[in-house]
Amino acid sequence: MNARIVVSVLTAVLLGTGVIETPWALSKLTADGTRARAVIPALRTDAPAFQTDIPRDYLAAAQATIPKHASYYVDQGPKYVSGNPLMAPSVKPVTAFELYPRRPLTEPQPGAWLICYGCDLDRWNGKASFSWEEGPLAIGRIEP
Amino acid sequence: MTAGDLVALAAAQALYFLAGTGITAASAALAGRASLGSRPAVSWLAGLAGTTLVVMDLAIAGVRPTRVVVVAVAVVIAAAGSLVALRRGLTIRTARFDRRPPLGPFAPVGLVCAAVTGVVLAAMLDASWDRGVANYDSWTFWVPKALILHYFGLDAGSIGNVLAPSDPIFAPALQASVFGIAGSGDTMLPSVLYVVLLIAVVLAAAALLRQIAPAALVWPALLLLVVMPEVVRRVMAPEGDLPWQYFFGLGTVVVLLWAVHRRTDLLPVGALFLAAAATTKREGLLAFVVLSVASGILVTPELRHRWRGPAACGIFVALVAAPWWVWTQMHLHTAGSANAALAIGALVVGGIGWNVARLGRWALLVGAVAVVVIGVPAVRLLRSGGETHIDQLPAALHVAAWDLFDPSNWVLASFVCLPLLAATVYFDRHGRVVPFVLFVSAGLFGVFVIRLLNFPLAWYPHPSLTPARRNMASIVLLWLFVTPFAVARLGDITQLVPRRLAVLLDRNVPFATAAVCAPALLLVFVASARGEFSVAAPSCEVPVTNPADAAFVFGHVPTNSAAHALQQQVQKVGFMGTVIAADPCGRFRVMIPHVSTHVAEQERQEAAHVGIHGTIEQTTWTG
Repeated sequence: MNARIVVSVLTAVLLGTGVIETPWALSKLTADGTRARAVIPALRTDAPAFQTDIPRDYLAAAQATIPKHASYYVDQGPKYVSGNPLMAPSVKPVTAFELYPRRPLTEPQPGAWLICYGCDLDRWNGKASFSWEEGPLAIGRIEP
Repeated sequence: MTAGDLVALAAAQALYFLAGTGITAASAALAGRASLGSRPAVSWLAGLAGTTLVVMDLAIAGVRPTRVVVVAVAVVIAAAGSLVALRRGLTIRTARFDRRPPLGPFAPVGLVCAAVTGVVLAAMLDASWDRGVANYDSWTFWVPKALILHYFGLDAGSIGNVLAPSDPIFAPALQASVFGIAGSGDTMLPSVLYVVLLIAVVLAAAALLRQIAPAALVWPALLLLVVMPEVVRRVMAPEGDLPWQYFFGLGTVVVLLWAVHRRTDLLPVGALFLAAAATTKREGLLAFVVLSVASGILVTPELRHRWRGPAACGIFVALVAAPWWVWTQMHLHTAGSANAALAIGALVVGGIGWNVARLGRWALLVGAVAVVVIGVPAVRLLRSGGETHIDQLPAALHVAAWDLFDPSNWVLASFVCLPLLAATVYFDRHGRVVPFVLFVSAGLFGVFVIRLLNFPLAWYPHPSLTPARRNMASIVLLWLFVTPFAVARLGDITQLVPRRLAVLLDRNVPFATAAVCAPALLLVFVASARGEFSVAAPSCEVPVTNPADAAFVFGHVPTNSAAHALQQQVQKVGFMGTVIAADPCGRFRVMIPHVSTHVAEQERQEAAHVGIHGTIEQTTWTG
């Protein structure tokens, strides 16, 4: 077979493939855009919390309680249970993502803010005072 | 997206264009050209890469990417480039971009494809507008790294806290630059920025390829690039995968333009693209090494006399990439030694490897030694993610090959481009372009198969969920960028089709363009406006991807209280063990989670008996 014919046929297939696939791409992009707009504007930055079932009330409370540019430490414990397997490994990344420019700490520091996410509150008795509590979730400040 | 964000995004692109014009002016003047020697889109992307690389290395040196810093970097690059150009004899009068090359044969085909590509890119921009950061890797480390750079600078404590801390920071630096100009870390910005990046890439690719290939070859390939399912799915995810692959593909095109068409003036632009690839992901650095080895081994006798430019290019890439690996070794202690050794290996191969050209018949031997020199640290780097399962080699080969050709990722791109490249070898038997590209492709395939040995493949419910698909994208994108180049080497493409058809199409280009383009464009716009393309109705349902972890969903409701009411309603008719969870639209799902699709189907039938019409979905979802 003439190789020139092979090249011309394959070039035509390349062209045809792109044209044929275009409606699917436009359909997918239209659906993506519509779905993104279906989310309430105030919640559009909360996608990580939706995906992992981390309570938005808790994130909103943390944003309201901890001042911008402050530092905080997340003490995560087993007391908050979720059926979503992504939740446990995602608590710290999601919290950090939602709380920037507040700075996450790897170790608790005197005077820093404290987030107890299912932790043992008794452990912080006398060492921290909490200003927001809801079940096994609490936000407070480590004593200076 | 706020109006301020939009202004910042536009201002950033203007700054990149300014810096890029300085870069292209200097490189044209240094190569002895009287004009700028390229098109504006090339300057735009070169400016984006150059400015971001400097911002990135400044961040590693401790300078936070604020508005002042980003503007100063772009202005200094533009001024320095202009100064070099003027000193080397380029005058204001002659410093113009090249005129657009003639459209070439079958112009209407190229113009229609260009127009449809524009429509798809516009749809991407529209879809990205109200989209937050929804992909797991994006919100666990890519965007957090950008926010850390924006708010704290390169703070080791904060970077060490995110997942994958040692992945390089070109992409976060790009996002942080726009955050810096906007003056806020608005996480709605990155998705739009990534679509703008793709627009710049498509225009730059067209500008580079159109210098040697007619529009009828270039634009079909670029149209296929933007409609491929994997690109459509990932383009708005602010991650590192697609960006390094864009830059690597274009860097390779520039290397070919230098080798085949003596475009020495474009080499600095190619160096910037390859440096951007090497500093976006570890895979990009490995790909650069593969490219350097291929260049060293497959060099032609004629090119042996022109080794200084590529050698400088290789050294530049290694020098730009090295600070990050030194920083990770000093501050994070994560695989730093292997990575630094790899950067040095890149330096050896990128710089000295090109000099292999001077060694004549010893080239192959030195190339083989270079492979060993970089092979050891490369394997160490690949192993740094965990234990290597050598027994998985057959499975890894299967998964990689599957993902390279799977039509659900690339439609027919792999099935068309590979035979097309092979067919051009038949014609151009003495040419080195396609063997070079196939060598690079094989190298990338091998490197990524080795990488797959780190992953417990049995853990993945489906091969498409392994990193193989994201890695194989680099090969498919490379093929798409290079195919027009390779086919154009065969000569006048009108010879490839019956002469009568060629004459008919080319006799009156404007008429033919109008006759073909206008109805096609009208059809696309009318159909879009009527929602004809919305065949996949927008849905808040989560499709089942893992049948072992499905859920039976009783309904999607807008409020928490409505969800509790629905939960009580279904409990009254006997459905216990329900939970309330979020859906992708910010509403609430009441569901029985973590069941197989078989069990979910039984639940669905039972619910239908009592008048509840639910859906079977995935229990958890990611963007």
